[in-house]
Amino acid sequence: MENEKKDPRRDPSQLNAIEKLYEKFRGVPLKYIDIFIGLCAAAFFAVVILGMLKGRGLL
Amino acid sequence: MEKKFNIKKFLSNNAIIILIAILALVVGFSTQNFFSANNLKNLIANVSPRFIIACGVSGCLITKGTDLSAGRQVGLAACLSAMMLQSVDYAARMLPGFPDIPWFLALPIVMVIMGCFGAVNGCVIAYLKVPPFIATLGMQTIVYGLCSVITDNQPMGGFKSSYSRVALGSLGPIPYLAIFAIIVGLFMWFLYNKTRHGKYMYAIGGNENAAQVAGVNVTATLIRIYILAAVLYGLAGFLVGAKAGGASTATGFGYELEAIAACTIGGVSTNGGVGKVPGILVGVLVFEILKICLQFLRVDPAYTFIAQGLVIIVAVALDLRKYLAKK
Repeated sequence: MENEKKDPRRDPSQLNAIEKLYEKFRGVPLKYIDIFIGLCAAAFFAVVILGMLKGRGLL
Repeated sequence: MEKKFNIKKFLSNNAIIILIAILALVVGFSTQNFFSANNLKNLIANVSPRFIIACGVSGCLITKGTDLSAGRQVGLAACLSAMMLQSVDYAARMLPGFPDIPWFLALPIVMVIMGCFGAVNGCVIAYLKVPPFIATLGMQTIVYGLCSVITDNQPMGGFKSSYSRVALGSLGPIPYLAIFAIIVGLFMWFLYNKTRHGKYMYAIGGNENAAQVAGVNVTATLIRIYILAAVLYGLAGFLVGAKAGGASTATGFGYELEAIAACTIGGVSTNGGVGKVPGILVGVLVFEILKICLQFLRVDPAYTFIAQGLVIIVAVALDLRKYLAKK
C-alpha cells in the first residue's frame, strides 16, 4: 500500500508517450544531462554571435 | 522546519528564465530603444494572443496530452473572422452576400465553430483512446485542408475599421489585446485553482487510472479541456487576424510549437499534472523577449530559428532532468 503511494506510476501501461521516452534515459547519469544542457547553452550563445555577424554582413 | 534555499535547484528550475533575463539586460543596455514604451507595446501585442493559445494548450499538456492542431486552428479562426468582418464596400470580398455584422457577434460565432473542432479532438482522444499526438496531428491537417478549401487559398484583407480597432485600440494605456489576455488569464487561473474541473484536470495528469477510480469523469473532463482549448484558439485567431490586418492559410503556422515551448519553459511538465497560469505567462514572455532580443541584436533570421530551437531543446532537457531527479 505504501509502495503504491510512493510510486503510483510504476505500472508501464500508465506511462504516456513522453514518460516512456523519458524512461529510456533512466540509466543516464544526471551529470551527463547537465553537460548536455551546458553545451546547448554554449551553442545558443555561439549561434547568437554567428547570427549577429551574419546579420551585419561580416560572415 | 524552515526550508533551506537550494541555489542549484533554483538555477535548474529557472535556467532559461535567468538566461533570457541576462540576454535582455545585455541587449537593453547595449542597444537603443529596447527599454522603450513602443517596444513594451510591441511585446504586449505579441504576447497577448500567444498567451491565450498557450493557456489552451496547457490544459492538454497537464492531462499528459498535447494539441498539435492549435496553430492551424488559430489560422482557421483568423480566416473565419476575416471572411465575416471584411468591409462591405471592399471589392475583393470573400463572401459578397454575407450580412454586415459587428465584431462582437462574429467573435462568439468563431469561438463556437472552433469549439466543435475541439469537441471532435476531445471525443477522439477520450472515447477512442487515440494518443493525443496522433489525433491532433490528424486534426491539424484536416483544419489546414478545410481552411484552404473555404478560402480558396486566397489571402484576405480589407477589414472593417471596428475589427482592426480591436487590436490597435487601447483603454487608456492598456491595449485591448492585453485586456483580452488578462481576462483569459484570470479565468484560467480561477478554473485551474478554484473549480472542480481544475482539480480533475490535475488529478488526470497525475494518474489517470487513480483519478478514474476516485470518481473523476475522465472522459467528460478531457472533452471539456479540448473544447476550451479550441475556443481559446478561436479567440486568439480572431485577435491575430485583427492585429495582422489580414488572414490566409499561412496564419498561425508553427504557433502550436511556440505555445508548447512556452508552457514547458513556464513549468508545465509534458509529463502532466504540473503547471500554473502565471508560469505560462512567464514562459510566453520569455519566448517573446528572446525573439525581440534577437531582432535588436540584428541576428540573421535564419539563425533566429536555430536559437529558438536550442531554447526549446534546453527546456525539454530541463524537464527530463527534473523527471529523472524526482524518481
